Amino acid sequence: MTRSLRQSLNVMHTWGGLLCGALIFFVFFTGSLVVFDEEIDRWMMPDTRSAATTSDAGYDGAMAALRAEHDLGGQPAFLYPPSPRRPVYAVLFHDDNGHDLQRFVRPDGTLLPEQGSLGATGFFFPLHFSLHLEHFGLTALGYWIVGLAGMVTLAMVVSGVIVHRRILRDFFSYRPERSRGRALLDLHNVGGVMSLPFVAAMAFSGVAIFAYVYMPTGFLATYADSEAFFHDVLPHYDREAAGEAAQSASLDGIADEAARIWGGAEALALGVFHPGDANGYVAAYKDTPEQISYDYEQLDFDARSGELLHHQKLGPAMQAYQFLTGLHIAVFDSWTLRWLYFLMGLTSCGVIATGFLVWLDKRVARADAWSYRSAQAVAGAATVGLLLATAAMLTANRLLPLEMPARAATEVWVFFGIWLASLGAGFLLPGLTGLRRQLQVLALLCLTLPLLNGLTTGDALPMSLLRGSGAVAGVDLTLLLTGALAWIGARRLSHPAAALLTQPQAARA
Amino acid sequence: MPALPPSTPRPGPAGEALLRAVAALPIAWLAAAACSAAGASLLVLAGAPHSEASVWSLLGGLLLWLALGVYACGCRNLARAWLMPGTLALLGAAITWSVDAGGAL
Repeated sequence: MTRSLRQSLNVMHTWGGLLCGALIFFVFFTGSLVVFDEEIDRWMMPDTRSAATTSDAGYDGAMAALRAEHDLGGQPAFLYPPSPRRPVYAVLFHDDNGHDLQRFVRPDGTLLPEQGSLGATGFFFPLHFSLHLEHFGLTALGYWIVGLAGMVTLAMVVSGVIVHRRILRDFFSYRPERSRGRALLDLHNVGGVMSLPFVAAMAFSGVAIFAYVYMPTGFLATYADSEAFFHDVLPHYDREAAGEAAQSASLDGIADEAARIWGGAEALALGVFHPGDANGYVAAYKDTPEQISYDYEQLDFDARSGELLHHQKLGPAMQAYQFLTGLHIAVFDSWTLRWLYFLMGLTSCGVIATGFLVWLDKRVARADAWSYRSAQAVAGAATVGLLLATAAMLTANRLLPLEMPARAATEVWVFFGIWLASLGAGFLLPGLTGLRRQLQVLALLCLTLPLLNGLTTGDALPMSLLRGSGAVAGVDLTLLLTGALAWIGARRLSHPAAALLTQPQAARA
Repeated sequence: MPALPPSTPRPGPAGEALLRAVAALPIAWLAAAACSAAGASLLVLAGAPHSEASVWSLLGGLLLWLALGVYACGCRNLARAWLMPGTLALLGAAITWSVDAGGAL
C-alpha cells in the first residue's frame, strides 16, 4: 500500500469527519433514542403508561372509540394493539390536510385525550431519517441529506481502517499517561474499532432502506414508474372506494383469522382502508418479534365479509431488503439486543465526539482563529447542545399545561430553540467556558427531570420501580446517569489542566 | 512570490485531495446509478423477473457507490479519480441504452 493512498484517505477521513461529523452525530444520537421510542413515549405521554383496566374491547372497540370522535372521511386508519411496551391501543390516521395524527385508546375502549406531544415516535423517529423536512414539502431532500451522511459514515469506516495501519494494536491501546492528543486518539480508535461492525451495519442498512430514493435508475430502467415498481416488489391488494356505505365485519375476527393463517403469530397492526365503504378492506401486518427480517407478510381481507383477498409473498431480493430493514429498525423482541443497539449507538456518538476533540487538539495553536472557534462552536452544539436540546424538550413536556394550544409544536420549538441557543453560546463563550456552562445546565436539567416527572404525574422513581413500570423508571434512571456524567464532565473542565485545550502552545509555555 | 519555508505544507495536494473527497460521492453516484440501470437491464435480458432484477441492482448500486467513492478519494490525483467512475458511467449508460433500444425491456 502506497503512502500517498494512506495520506489521501487521511485527508478525507479528517475533513469528511469534521464537515459531516455534526450531521452523523445527530443521526446516531436520534437513532439511539429511537431504540427506546416507546419507552420515551410513555414518559412523555403519562396517560398511556398503564392500561388502568383488565377488560379488552379489542380492535373493534378502539375503532369505534376513534370514529365516535373523528370523521375519518375515507382516509385509512392503522390500529396497533397493546403490547408490553405500550399498554394501550395506538391509532394512526390522517386529518383533512393529510397530516398524521395519533390517538390512544385504553383496552376498555376509552379514547384518551390528545397527549399534546409528538413523543419519540412522532418527533425523534422522523427526525432521524427525514429531518422533518416533509413539513416543508422537502421529504426527498431530508432522505438525501441523511443518506449522504450514511454514505460518508461508510466511507469514514473504510478510510479509518486503512488510515490506522495498526488497527489491532490500537484496539488494545489507551495511553492517558502520554500526551492528551495521544489519549484522545486512542479513545477515538478504541471506540471506533469496537463499534466498527455496528456502525457499518447500521450505516449500510440505513442507506439501503431508502435505496429507491438514492438509486432509482435500477428500477426506472425496467419499470414505467416507481408506483409500478412498488406494486410488483411489494404486492398488495388495492381497490378504489365504491362511495356506498356498508357495515364492516369484526376487526377482531379478521385479526383472529390472520393469526390462524400465520400459524399463531399476532398482528403488529391492522390497516383499515376506505372505512365504512362497501369496497373497504383490512390489511393485517404480521408481528415479527423473533426474527431479524422485517417481513410483515401482509394479508388483505374484505372489510364487509372478512374474506381473504390477498396474501403477500416476497421474492428473494425483497426478503434480503427486508432483512436489512429489520436489522436497522430492530423491532425484534429482545431487551439485550435493544440495549446493545442503544449502547453501541452512543459509543458511535463518542467516537465522533472524540474525533472532533482530536481535530481541535491538533490545531490548538490556532485557537484564536475564526475557523477554529467556528469548528469549536459547531462541535459543542452538535454534541452537548443536542443533548441539552433533548433535555429541554423533556422539561417543556413536563412543564407545559396539557390544555395549551399547539403544545406539541411548542415542544418542538423548544428543542430547536435551545439547540440554536447552544450554537450561539459556543460563539459567545468560546473555549471551555461555554462548553462547561452547557454541561452544567444539562446536568441541572437531567437531575431535576425525574423529580419533575414525579411531581407532575405522581410516578416518582421509587414508585415506578415498585410498580415495575420499566419504561418510566428506565427513562428516569438514564436521565439521572446522564446528569451525573454531565456534572462530572463540567467539573473536570473546570480543572486547570483542561484549560490547556484552548490555549496555544506559546501561551502554555 | 517569496519561497515557502521547507517545513510549510504546500496547499496544492491537500486542496486537491479535499476536492477529490467532496467530488467523490457525486461522481461515484453517477457511475453506480448507470451501472445499476445496466445491471437491471442485463438481468431482465437474461430472464430474471423484473422485481428481482431491480432490487438486486438497487442494492448492488449502493455498494458500488461506496466502493467507487472510497476509490476516488484514495486516488493519487483528480484525473485518476475521475477516470474509472467516468468510464463505468459511460459503459453503464451505453448498455442500458442498447438493451432498451433493442426492445428487450
